[in-house]
Amino acid sequence: MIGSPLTSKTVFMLGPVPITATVVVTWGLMAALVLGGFLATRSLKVRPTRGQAALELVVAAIEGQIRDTMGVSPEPYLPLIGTLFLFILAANWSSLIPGIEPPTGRLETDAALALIVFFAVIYFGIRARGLVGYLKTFAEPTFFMIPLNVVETFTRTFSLIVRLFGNVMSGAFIIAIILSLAGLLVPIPFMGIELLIGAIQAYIFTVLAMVFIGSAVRESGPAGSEERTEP
Amino acid sequence: MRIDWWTLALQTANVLILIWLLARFLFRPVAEIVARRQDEANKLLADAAKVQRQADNARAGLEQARADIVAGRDKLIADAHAAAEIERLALLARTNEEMTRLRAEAEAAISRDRVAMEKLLIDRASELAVEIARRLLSRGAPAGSVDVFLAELCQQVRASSPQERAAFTREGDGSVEILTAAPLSPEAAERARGAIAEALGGKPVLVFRSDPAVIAGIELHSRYAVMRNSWRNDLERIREELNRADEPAKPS
Repeated sequence: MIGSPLTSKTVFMLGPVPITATVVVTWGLMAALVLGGFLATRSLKVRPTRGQAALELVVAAIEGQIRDTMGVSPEPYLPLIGTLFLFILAANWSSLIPGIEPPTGRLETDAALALIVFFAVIYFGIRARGLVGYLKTFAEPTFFMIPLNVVETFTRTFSLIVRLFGNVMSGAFIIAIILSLAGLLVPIPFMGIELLIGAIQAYIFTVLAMVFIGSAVRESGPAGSEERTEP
Repeated sequence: MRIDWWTLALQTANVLILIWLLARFLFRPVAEIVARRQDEANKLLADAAKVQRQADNARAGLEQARADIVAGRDKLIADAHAAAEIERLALLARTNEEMTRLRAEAEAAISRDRVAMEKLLIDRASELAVEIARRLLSRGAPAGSVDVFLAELCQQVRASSPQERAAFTREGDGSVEILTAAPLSPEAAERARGAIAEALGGKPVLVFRSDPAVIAGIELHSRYAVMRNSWRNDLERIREELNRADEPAKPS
């Protein structure tokens, strides 16, 4: 059962730091992802097994998405984008485990993800175009657009937070309400829908992060005109 | 709404740590294995291309060797044909030469045989003719005609050189035979003795003897000389003439 979406329940205190259930679940997800990644990559071979082929297919799909969306070589962005997608997907789907509150259904987690994307845009933008070059992007297409572009930088980050938070939190809420009203089996179709929504939200968040980073690192002009590497 | 800043900070740190961990334990190993596979595939392709090039080179070498063998075989065949042609022509020339030589030798032998046969036939014919003439003349030879022969013989003796006449008249050389076909009558013998002694001069010892082979006429025989005026002598001369007349007919 989920409580108020706007408050976090403290599980224990680590000195002065309150450790909430969201953080604990996140740690569990992190452990699962890292352990799964470690186990999956422990014995990689040049001649792949079926499981390795599936893993490489997932990674290749993420790389292809980065290449298609950002129009740049995917290697520098793969850890960030891939981790965002896998973590959000795992977090969204964790709501299906009874008694687990999805971390992405908490505002702090979504804000943390959006903050990371916010600073990643700045970092990759400066790295790709230099400080002056990155700052010049705020004057595009004209000098008078600077205020709007600055505001957009913050608002789109805020939109990331709100979109993910609203969708995941509402989905978890709906399942909880229906479960409390209709019994055990009725929420199952809604849980299926929640699976789909969780995957879609993970995909949307990741694609938007790629779009924001791509707009910062890519020179003006047709998308994919630079740094594109053919598969 | 209240933001739990501690949770926000922890979640930010958690995600950052997760990014690092997944990069370390998931994305980097997968990227490395993919890159390694790509490298091995490229290496495999390069090796395959190298093997392909080697195979192409080997095939080109084999084709060149085969072409050389074919060219060598053709050259050998052509050389053999040329040598055989030369040998054939030489053999033909030798055969022609041999045939020409054999034919010439055969023709020469045939010619020689023909000449010898002709000479033999002529000789036989001459002998036959002389024999026929001898037999015919011996039947009808007149005994009284010896005076004609005697006169001519005496004239022949007188026309001879003194040395020839001396061969009949030298003393100690025996007698001079007067040979006739039939014995002479005493009158005829006396005439002959007188005529011959007068023709020879000196005092020869004259002895008469008859020989049918003389046919007709008279002959003088001494140890060193003979003088004839007889048909036998004439027939001998005719036969010799006939034989000599045949000589120019010999092929050169």
